[in-house]
Amino acid sequence: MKKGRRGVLFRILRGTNSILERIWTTLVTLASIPGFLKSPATSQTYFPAEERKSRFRIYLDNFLWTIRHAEINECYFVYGLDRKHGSKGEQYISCREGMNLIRKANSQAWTGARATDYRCLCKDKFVFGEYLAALSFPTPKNLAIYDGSRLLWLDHGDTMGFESLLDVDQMDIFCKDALGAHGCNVFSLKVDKGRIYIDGMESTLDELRKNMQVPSLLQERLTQHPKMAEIYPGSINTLRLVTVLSEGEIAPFGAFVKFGTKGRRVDNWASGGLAVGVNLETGKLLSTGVYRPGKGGFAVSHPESGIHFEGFEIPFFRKAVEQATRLHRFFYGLVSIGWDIAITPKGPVFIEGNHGWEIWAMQAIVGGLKSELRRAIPLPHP
Amino acid sequence: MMDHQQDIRLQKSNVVLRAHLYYQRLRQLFALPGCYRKVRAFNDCEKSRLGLALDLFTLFFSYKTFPDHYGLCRLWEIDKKEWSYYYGSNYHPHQRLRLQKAVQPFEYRVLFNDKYLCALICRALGIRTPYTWGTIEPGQDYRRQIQLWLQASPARPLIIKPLFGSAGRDIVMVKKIDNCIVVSSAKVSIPLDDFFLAETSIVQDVLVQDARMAAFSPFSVNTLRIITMLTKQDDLIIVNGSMRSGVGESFVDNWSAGGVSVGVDFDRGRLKKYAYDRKWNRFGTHPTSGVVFEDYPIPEWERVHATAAAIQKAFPFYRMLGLDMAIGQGGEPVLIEINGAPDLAALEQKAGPLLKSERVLRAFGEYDLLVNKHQRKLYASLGKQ
Repeated sequence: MKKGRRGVLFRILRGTNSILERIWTTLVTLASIPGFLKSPATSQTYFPAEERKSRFRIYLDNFLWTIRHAEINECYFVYGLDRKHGSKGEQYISCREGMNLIRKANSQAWTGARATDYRCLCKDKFVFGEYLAALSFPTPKNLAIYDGSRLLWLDHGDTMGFESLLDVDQMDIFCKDALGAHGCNVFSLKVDKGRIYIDGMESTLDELRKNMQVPSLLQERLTQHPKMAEIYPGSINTLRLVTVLSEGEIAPFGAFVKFGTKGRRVDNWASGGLAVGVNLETGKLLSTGVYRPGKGGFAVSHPESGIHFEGFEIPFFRKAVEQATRLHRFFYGLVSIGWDIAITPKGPVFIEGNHGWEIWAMQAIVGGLKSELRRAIPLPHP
Repeated sequence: MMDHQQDIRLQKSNVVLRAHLYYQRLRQLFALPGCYRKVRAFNDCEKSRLGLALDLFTLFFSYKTFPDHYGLCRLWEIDKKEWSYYYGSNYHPHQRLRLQKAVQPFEYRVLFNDKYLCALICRALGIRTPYTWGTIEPGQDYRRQIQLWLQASPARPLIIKPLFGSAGRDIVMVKKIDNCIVVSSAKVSIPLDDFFLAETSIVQDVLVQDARMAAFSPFSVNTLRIITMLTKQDDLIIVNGSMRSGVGESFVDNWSAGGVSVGVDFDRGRLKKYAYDRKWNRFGTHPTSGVVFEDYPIPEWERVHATAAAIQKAFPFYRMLGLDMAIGQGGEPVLIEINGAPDLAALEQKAGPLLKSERVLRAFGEYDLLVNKHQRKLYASLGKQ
């Protein structure tokens, strides 16, 4: 069979598979709408002072959203779409469409007639760290890789057994899943004269082994800027800055800061962190932070420190934007990257780059971004 | 729940992969007559028609590999008991599936396939490479850009390679001759104004090579192709390697672009007896310069070995690489490029069967790269020794 016909057949099969998958997903999702709308955790209004739509209308909105987008709109209430006179659903891009758009744009960098996938530069935290370090961009130093049984110490290139950790006199680092996302499987690890502490709690080598994914990356621990620690000292509060490469120019698309809460050691929105938007012009926080649905509502100040967000200036914000823009040039195969940047006393440090960053936190903070995202990330074509 | 869904996805993915493998094998079955005709047309093969057909079928079914290395490696001259030591081409379905799964993960291939990205990474890691000026694209004023770069590098010509090129395809050299900028390919030289760029390309300085390497051919940068591998114990081994040289006035040394290639004895750091070209012709001396290949010492072999080891160790997530290295003036090893999927069958032609080396056989066995029962028997016998 000729290549052209084979390609057409493959596309037909793939398309059919997508359609069937979508139909199935839609049917399954429709069945979960009542549960979503009945649960107090997920169906709490974010705008209690405003007039709400009728229950029937809310059901209808969600039903239609699921039919159109094959997903439950988990941010329906965060977006304020339950308000009678609030924003319109059409202004918001669905999570599925947003992710597909970003994924397609990032997975196919067209060079002439060839499409190439550069996502490994961001997906693998080890590769990301080594690349940035090699290009002299600030990033936490990679110390070792764990492959399931041994540790490859990068400084001296020696491979040693996992038990060699106990021989280390003093070590205070972070362990993370080298291929993980959303802050999963990230924890602090301290070794002090043979004693192991995971997230501050004394533990054993076996427990540590169970916690570590394969492969895992051991990285130096960062100290955040005192100003950032003022708001919440329990986690490294990172800046999520999204840059977009369009027609040869790189520009920031949006930014927000994530703060840890309730004693948590990570700031991820998914884990209960608080996301607060940043004004790209001034580098100052917007007035209101938002929790992920099911974790809380809006907040104008941090629940632990009580510091108000409005007007709070992020240190080194301009430098972070300038460095992210410059760094994106070296990731020329990726159209859009969500950079996670820690602000340290010496300046911004790039923790990771997200090639499949999610739009919903940004929409929750600033409102619908459907047309902006579609404009900023046109789909590539040969 | 997530684990269960991931399991299902993994199972589906494995089923798809296996189906794809059998489909490719079926297609190869229909390509066997073509392979037969090609070997029959080669004068040096003295095998009878029936004998040849049986040999090819044996390789295809019993050794589970398409027998395109039969002619390459002159297997009609080799005792059948030795056939097990030949790994075969890494581009064939069984080999490719296993290599991609264990040692050459496809999602990282772009780091090596994109020459500019590879040059950036290598330079930033402190690996010596030819100076890279940048990239040029068809939509830009690339002629002006080439002119500017050439002005900044007056003593040396520039080389332009397609960003994702391979096998020496479409490589051109740019130099100034009598105040005129000339672009030369393998076949023709034209003024820069008449040069048409077909795809995004990388522009680099042409390396001035060591005289001992230039002895084979002064027109091309003659390189060493070294296959390195990290074992499961993170030990570095050299799987195999060869030296390539251009022929005539060709400025590319690639074997597939008309150059000759001779195997390297890595234990002694010397060249082997015969070089081969892509038409399977065998040479004891270089066809142009007449330099004898056998036992020719590779200049600065220890340094080359050490550099290759350092490069492989810089990419611990990618366990097998093909490094193209040149020797610069002063004997310094210089990395020209990295291949994420180096051609193993072509290498076996020059350097001998891969699995003859116990280290390599052991490493391949540990990674489950062996594709047929004969190879696995060899590996099993290692354990008994």
